[in-house]
Amino acid sequence: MALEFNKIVEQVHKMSHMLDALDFDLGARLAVARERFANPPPLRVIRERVALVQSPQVSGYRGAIPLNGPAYEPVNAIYPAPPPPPSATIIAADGSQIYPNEQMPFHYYLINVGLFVYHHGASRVPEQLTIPRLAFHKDHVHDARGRVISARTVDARRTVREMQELGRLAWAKRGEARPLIALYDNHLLFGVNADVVGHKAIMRAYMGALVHLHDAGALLAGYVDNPVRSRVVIRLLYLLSLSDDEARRADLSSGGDLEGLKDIHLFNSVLRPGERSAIMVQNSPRNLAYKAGEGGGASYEIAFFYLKTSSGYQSSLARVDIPMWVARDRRAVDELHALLVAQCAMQGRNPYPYALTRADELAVVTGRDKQKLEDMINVELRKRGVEPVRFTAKEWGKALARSPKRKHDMGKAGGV
Amino acid sequence: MQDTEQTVVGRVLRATTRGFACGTHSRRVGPPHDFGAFVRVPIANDGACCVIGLIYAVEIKDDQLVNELVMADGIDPNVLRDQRENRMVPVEIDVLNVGYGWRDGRGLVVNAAHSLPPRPPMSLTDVELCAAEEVYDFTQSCDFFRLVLNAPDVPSDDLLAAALRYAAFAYPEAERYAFMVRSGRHIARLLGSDLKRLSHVLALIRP
Repeated sequence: MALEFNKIVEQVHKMSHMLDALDFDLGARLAVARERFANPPPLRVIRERVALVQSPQVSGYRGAIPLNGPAYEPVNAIYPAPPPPPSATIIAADGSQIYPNEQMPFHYYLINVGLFVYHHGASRVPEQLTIPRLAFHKDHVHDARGRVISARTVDARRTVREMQELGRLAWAKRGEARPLIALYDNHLLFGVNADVVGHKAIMRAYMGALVHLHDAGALLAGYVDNPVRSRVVIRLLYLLSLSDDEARRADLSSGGDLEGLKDIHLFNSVLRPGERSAIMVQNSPRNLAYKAGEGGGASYEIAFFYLKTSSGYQSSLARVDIPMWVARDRRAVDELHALLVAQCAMQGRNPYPYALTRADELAVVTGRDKQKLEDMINVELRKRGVEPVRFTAKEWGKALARSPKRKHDMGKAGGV
Repeated sequence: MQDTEQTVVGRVLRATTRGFACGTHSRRVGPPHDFGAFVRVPIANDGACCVIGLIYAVEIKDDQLVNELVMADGIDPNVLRDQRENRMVPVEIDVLNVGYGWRDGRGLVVNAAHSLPPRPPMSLTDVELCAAEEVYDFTQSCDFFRLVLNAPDVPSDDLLAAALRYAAFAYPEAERYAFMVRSGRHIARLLGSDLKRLSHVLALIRP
């Protein structure tokens, strides 16, 4: 049964009226945020306020804080795109997966990592590589109680594989033109919950991959396009509007009077194409663990900046996560900034890094790929007298009912 | 016409007894894919019997990323090479069947019949360019003209003219003029009732 649109037309109209009200509300808050962003308090006050929210008396602040030391950049600083270096090596990684199917008589999952190398400033054909790995040993696909591992566990393992392969590739390319930019298609502040099988080992492996990238001298960047959930700078602006007493009493996990506004709203309105915001770090226990935890260190705290990219036709906002070993090096940040702007101008109207687009294309496992792999595995099962379960009765019923409706076409016959 | 590296046109994607489509990578597109070229491919479950066909369409497929790049003011040279050499940009070649025959001891198809083959080729079979000797042998008779001129959904007039110009190079220089004149006379018999079409085809093959 198709969706009966005549029954939802009126509901869509009602929603449209509500959108008008929401937009008005957001516009007023954005004006307040822009005013606070343009006129931040003196650095001394900012430092005192940050020290307060990092003290044991106050908890729950998950907003941005400016960097300490020579890498400090004013909260409201905006930097235009520097000229790109004459040559560079840009590597990008992305991953895809097939989750284990509990219904199958034999359990397995697949992680496919796509890697792409772009030689900036050199007339060379870009390099591409895919690394598929099939996991089927019971120790890999079952938890300690013999249950099939969850999709979240596969996702966490995929993230680690992506970063490990990026690290290996960076190491292999360490002799190529510098700077060596390593692009990762997600945020860098990765974390796993305790329900993920082997969560501690996964975090150790992830930190190990970061160390490998650092050792290779790579300028690592986690690229988050259209970061609709980020509001760390909005939280900072709210914090800076409070007195010390108010800060102690306020719910700092919210945006206060700016609640509902996201960083993307603010930076879309204050950045012009090619510009980036100041580098800051997020105040969070997880980032603290990166900075001080096992396998980490001061170089592994994750910082970020916002970048407005443009293709000349469209612009887009991205949050770029960088480890502190990159954030502390102004020249590295400039090179990364310039090369990201250049990458985003390469694919027509779409302002997104070309290398990441290609890494995604290499990594993706389509429905047809999944079907082919299942067929290959089913052949092996049948050879050993095991009948694969292709569909449960429920799945088969859905497939039948959802199948394309056949037309009685009496016209065409044959023909190539 | 017959360098071994340059003889493979592609692999069969889908086929009927009237024609077939084969695919290849955009990187490999070259002279073997010329409009009007003669190609051969073994029919299903018979390595000795081959279909002879004429290439009548070469289609380079696109995708959304290519569409985006087309819109760019300038394409980065490395992106261009990446698109052409790394990405799987498929090329489809459509072939019209015009005859079939059996390989001789040298693997060449000679004494071919100018008619539709008994079976189509199987998918993934290698499609090869005909050797000059095969083209010469096949075009000794003009019976295949009828199949070309009557083929639906094919630019038949241009295809026949392109095939004849292509075939002329398989002839010794001294025989080319006579071959074209003989072909022109046969076309005149087939298209005698359609003078506009006849004059168009004759203009296309005029030596």
